[in-house]
Amino acid sequence: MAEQSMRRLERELRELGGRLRGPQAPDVTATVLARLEPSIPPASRPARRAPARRRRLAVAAAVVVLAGLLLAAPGVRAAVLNTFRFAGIEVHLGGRHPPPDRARLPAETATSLEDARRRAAFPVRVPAALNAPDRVTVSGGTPPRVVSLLYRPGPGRPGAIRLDQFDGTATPTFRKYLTGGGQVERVSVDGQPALWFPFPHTVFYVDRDGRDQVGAARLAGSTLIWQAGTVTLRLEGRLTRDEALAIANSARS
Amino acid sequence: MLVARYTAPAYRAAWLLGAGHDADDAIQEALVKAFRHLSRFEDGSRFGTWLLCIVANEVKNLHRSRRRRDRLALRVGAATAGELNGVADSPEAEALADERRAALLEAVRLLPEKERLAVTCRYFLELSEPETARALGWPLGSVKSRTSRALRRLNAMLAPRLSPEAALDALDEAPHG
Repeated sequence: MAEQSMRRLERELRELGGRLRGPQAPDVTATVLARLEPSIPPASRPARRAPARRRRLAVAAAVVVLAGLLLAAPGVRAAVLNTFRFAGIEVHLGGRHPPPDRARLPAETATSLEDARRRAAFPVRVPAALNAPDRVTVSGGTPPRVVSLLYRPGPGRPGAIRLDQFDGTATPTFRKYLTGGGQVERVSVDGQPALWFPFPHTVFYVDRDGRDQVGAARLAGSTLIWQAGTVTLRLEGRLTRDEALAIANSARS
Repeated sequence: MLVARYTAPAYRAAWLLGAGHDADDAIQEALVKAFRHLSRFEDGSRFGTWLLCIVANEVKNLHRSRRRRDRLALRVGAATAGELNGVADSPEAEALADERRAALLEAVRLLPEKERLAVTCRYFLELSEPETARALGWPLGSVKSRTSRALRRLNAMLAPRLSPEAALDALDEAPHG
């Protein structure tokens, strides 16, 4: 992360801290002094046994729901043109050289579909439009962060297909860098919004601390990303938009 | 009265550290312990910091004994005239800043427990790295590494999430050739 954005974040956190309010503090003076009694000179001793005022704050806990605020204001968009998130994927416009074109996800290991389903903390979807996957891998620790289904090229399928799926709520799992031209298209999968990237672009795996994993970077072909519940899915391969959509719409857990 | 003067900052610290409704128990314990050893501290400014360390420790003990944590319930106070330093931002800029703060607070809430504690001590309570180490009972190196991990994670979490429509507008507007 750039030093500059780190410093900005630190400044913002301090400023935020200055504004944070909890509930009104209780008056614990009497209780504390009563407990300190032996060390207090008799002259300043308070009235004995002031009633403890426990739990009087039970109603004071004002919880403010903060989610979803970023999307609302039109002004936000202008300020954030260079980076945005869709589902569990962060998209950057420009600023990266293409990485090596073959890379593996961290600790990516082959397994069976049944085993991947057992180990993953989210429902694993399989597209009915394709046959059984040729390979299934899990990556990113225990429970696995990403489950990938891989399909070899075959009759009527000129290139390999890869379907990555992951729980994409708090931090992004992949980061895409769009350096070439090309039009991203809005489509829908199962009636839910989705994005179609019909051109090659750089994809980095983002570790749990929010860092790009350079070793897991690669050049992705055309890619469809969509969200089902809290799970983000990205389908990648030499596919037309309609082929990708047909596969995506047939994915069931 | 000293107890009264230190109650509010101690309570705020306990609350920020996630003590929830046990905050009043935590500060009572902390104040009693602090005042029992008051003779060690003549310098008032250091006493405040030292008290915060004791509060942090009490909150940690509470968590350990109850094995549960209250959801961090916080709200962002409205800026007072003094905080604005007489410089009036436009309503739009102020609304934008409020949203950014709300998103930042939500992101802090989502941090793993230890990273959240590091951020709370370092930035919300403005403790130094050695003070944070003492307050949380961690080695100094852990304070440094957890803080920088937390900052990286916050940065990643704060990338704005756009609806597909807004994302496409952004793509159209930005030169990315």
